[in-house]
Amino acid sequence: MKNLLVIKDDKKKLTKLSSFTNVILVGLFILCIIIYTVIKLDYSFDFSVIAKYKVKFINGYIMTLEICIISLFISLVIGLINALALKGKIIFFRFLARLYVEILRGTPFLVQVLFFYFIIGEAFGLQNKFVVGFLILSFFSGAYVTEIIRGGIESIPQSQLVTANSLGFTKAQTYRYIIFPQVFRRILPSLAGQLSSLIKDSSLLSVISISEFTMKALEANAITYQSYEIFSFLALGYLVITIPVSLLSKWLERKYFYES
Amino acid sequence: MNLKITGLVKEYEIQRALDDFHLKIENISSLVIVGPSGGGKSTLLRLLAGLEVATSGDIHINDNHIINDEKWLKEYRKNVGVVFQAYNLFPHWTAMENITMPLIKVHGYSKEEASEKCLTLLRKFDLLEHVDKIPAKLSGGQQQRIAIARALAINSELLMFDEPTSALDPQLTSGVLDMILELKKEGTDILMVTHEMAFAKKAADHIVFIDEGKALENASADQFFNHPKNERIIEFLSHSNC
Ligand SMILES: Nc1ncnc2c1ncn2[C@@H]1O[C@H](COP(=O)(O)OP(=O)(O)OP(=O)(O)O)[C@@H](O)[C@H]1O
Ligand SMILES: [Mg+2]
Repeated sequence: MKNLLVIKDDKKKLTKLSSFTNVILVGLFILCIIIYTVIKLDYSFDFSVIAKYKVKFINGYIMTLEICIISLFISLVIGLINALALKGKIIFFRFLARLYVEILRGTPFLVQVLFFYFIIGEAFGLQNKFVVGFLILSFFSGAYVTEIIRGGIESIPQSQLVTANSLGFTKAQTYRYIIFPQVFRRILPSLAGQLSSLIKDSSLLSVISISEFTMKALEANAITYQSYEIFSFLALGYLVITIPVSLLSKWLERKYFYES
Repeated sequence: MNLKITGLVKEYEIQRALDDFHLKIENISSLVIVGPSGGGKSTLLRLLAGLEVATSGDIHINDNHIINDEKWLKEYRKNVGVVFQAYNLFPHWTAMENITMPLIKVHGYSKEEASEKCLTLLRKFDLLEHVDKIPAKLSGGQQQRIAIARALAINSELLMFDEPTSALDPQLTSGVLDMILELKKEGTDILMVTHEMAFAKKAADHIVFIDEGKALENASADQFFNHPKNERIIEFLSHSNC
């Protein structure tokens, strides 16, 4: 009995029976919480709201995906340029890039959204909310991507740069053929993780009424008050992407680990 | 090879690695540099290979006067093959790519020319079976021999080695040293820093002993090993394995 519930030796694999039992237990635990909330709220389920507002949800979901994919690409470009600026010789760009990274990583995303929307967006006359949405997200994510790429570049041992130099590769060739291919392989798992964050963080764009997935759920909720179904469905919508991405990230990590 | 070094100084922030270094050698094919750790051997080799620039002084090597001009150094480096202690190969490239990429990207070879050249070299040194392996799948000795093949591929008239075997197990060392010896026999000029005294005895035409940034001795191999004059050298030799 005790062997079923407690791990004695961390190196040994769990038995099938033990895994199975514990999956059931965790399931039961979650079920208890659900039952408690349902009773407490005196809630009656009506899953037809999901079907009823499916166009809303689908549109919101597509908007979320579009914003995230575009943001991922822009943030990669921002991250690359910034990482090069941080490593480059021009002090002005180094300082600028560092300041950018520190400010965007040091402030809450929600604050950035508000600041960007009400101040920068206004000042530059950005009317299109979709554009505003992916721009904010790109700048936010770009700061993290910068650090990922910088770390990747710095993980290339100095000896390789000396060798490249001694073979006569130019600096640009060294980056192109030697540093970047290795950096790219090394940072893929972190980039996948970043994509996952990006998708989750995009839900905050709902505060400025961008019609993405969370916004659509809020709208549906305001009409029907079927919060349980709607928000569960909302969470599920994110998990459907983030879980595979997280598995991908783990797989890439292991793959890289064995290759080197 | 001809070498003329006058008043060479190399300063790092806190240290003089080379201190008013002089050396004149003519018409030899293999030069071995020995000396205690921290004496300045690697520093000298890096200056000779054009990888760093001297604080002051002059280096003439064969027909080249090494000058402090990045453009000139770039051209010079292309024609000097250097092999370091370890990690010479790029880990994301196969043995083949490690040899062909510099030929293609730096020396303007076509892909076919480069792979032909690579295969010829690997065949010659009995490394053909490793052609498609990445460095992680090769032993340290195989990696070093492929790095030497790469240095040869660019047709450099002069090869430089900085302790190419000091990171290897004794069994692997001999394979690498044999390869270097073979090159010497074929007429490639060799300049090498090493702690392998037995090898130095066998392969060196000429030995330079460096200590505290100066050339304490500059003599033929025979004279250096059999009739050392300087006390530091006598002591050094008594501690080394020969
Ligand atoms: N890049 C550097 N920055 C600062 N100091 C350095 C640098 N390279 C070498 N030195 C210093 O210069 C001196 C000579 O170093 P060098 O590497 O040339 O010695 P070495 O004779 O090759 O020694 P070893 O046999 O241990 O390889 C040492 O005191 C070393 O600490
Ligand atoms: Mg050294």
